[in-house]
Amino acid sequence: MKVFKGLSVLMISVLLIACAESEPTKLTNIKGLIPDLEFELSDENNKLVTAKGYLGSTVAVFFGFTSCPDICPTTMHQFASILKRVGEPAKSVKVLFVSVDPKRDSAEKLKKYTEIFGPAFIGLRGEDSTIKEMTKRYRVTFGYGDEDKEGNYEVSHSGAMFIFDVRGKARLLVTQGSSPENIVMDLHALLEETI
Amino acid sequence: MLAIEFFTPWELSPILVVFLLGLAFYYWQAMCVTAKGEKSAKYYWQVVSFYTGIVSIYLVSHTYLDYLSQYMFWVHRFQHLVLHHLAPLLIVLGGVGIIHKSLPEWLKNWKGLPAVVRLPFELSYKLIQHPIVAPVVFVGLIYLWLIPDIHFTAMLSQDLYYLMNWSMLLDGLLFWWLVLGPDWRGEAKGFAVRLIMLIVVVVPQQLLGAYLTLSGEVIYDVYEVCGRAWPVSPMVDQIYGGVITWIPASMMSVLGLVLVLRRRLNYQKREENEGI
Repeated sequence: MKVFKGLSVLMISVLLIACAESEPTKLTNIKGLIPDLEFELSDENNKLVTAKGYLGSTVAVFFGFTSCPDICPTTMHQFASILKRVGEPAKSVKVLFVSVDPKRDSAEKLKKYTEIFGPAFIGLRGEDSTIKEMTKRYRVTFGYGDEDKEGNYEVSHSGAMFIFDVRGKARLLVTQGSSPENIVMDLHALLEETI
Repeated sequence: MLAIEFFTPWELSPILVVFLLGLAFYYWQAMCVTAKGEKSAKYYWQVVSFYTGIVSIYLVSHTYLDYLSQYMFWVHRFQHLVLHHLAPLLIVLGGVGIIHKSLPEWLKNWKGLPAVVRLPFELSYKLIQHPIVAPVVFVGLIYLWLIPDIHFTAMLSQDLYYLMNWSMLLDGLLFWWLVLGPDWRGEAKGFAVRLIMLIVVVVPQQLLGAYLTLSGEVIYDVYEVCGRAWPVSPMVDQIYGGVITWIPASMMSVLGLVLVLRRRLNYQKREENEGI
């Protein structure tokens, strides 16, 4: 047991040093930490889509809901302007907005919502259990607050955006605290495959 | 929530199940040997204590509570309170004087093993159980896993999450075994060392708990990144987590102090009686 303990401490140090020195990204590098892109959901046109269909594109995944008052619209607007700043290479980027509130987010509602941000943004939805499975895969979660008289309720959800490369490998994590400059720089590098 | 939903493992861990079942089975065997040897003695509280410890590890590591621990800071602190303090203490209390009864023959004849096999184990055990090293590791692990960057990675990577929880559990078992284990019978020298170890670990835990509780800003953004199990203000989550690190964790040391004092008194009484 004691050997295991001693080894654990050593392993943590080694792992952390390895993480810190792997690749020079400004954002959190999640290569190897998070599993590859995988899902089977329906898109905003009610078509069944899978992760394989997006291979070849750099994909950003965000778990949100259209009635979200703050984090979702802010993040989407910020990312839309980042794609503009990256310019031509960003044309191959797809932003998948996965609804964690499929009860209220119909396909039509999702479509109207993502249209505001541009053609790169695609709304996805699925059964509650499918979404739960997908969020679990990426170690994120969501939960619902109590309904008020009008039937509205709060939703707790991840504020992060996971960026996958053209091969569907997890690469970067954009958090609420990430600066736009860093996102632009790393996204650029990822698109040009220099990181 | 239905009971079945609560008890369904969030992430199935066969190693944990085998480990806990193995411990439970082994203890049962040791208890049978003990009871056979001393038929008049009753061991109810030891059995309850040991199995409560085992069940509590299972509950916080392999049920819906494990899910909540990954997505709520305060539940995570509660999980570590159980893994590092409460469950190991209960297991040690229930196991002292009993678990050595059913050791396999080769372990009973440990001294007979070749030095090449024996020494590395003995030396590392001595090192980790050194009265200066053990409290440092005990508190150090709490601090290590709460360094924001490390906490972030541990919560995001399943492997590191397991490593974190296992390290807390094993260190808890080692520490409480050192403080309340059978190596010390109640003599004055061991008494002082054990009291000092328990006091030494209280202060840094209280400082950390107070820092988490009173810090005006959100320290752990991984719960923003991964989402919380239900809508709650990040500050409230952190304050609850801080209070759990601050108060119950230090109370466990106080409980340890009481147990050590009790053992010392019992030992003194016995000595006096024998003297008469």
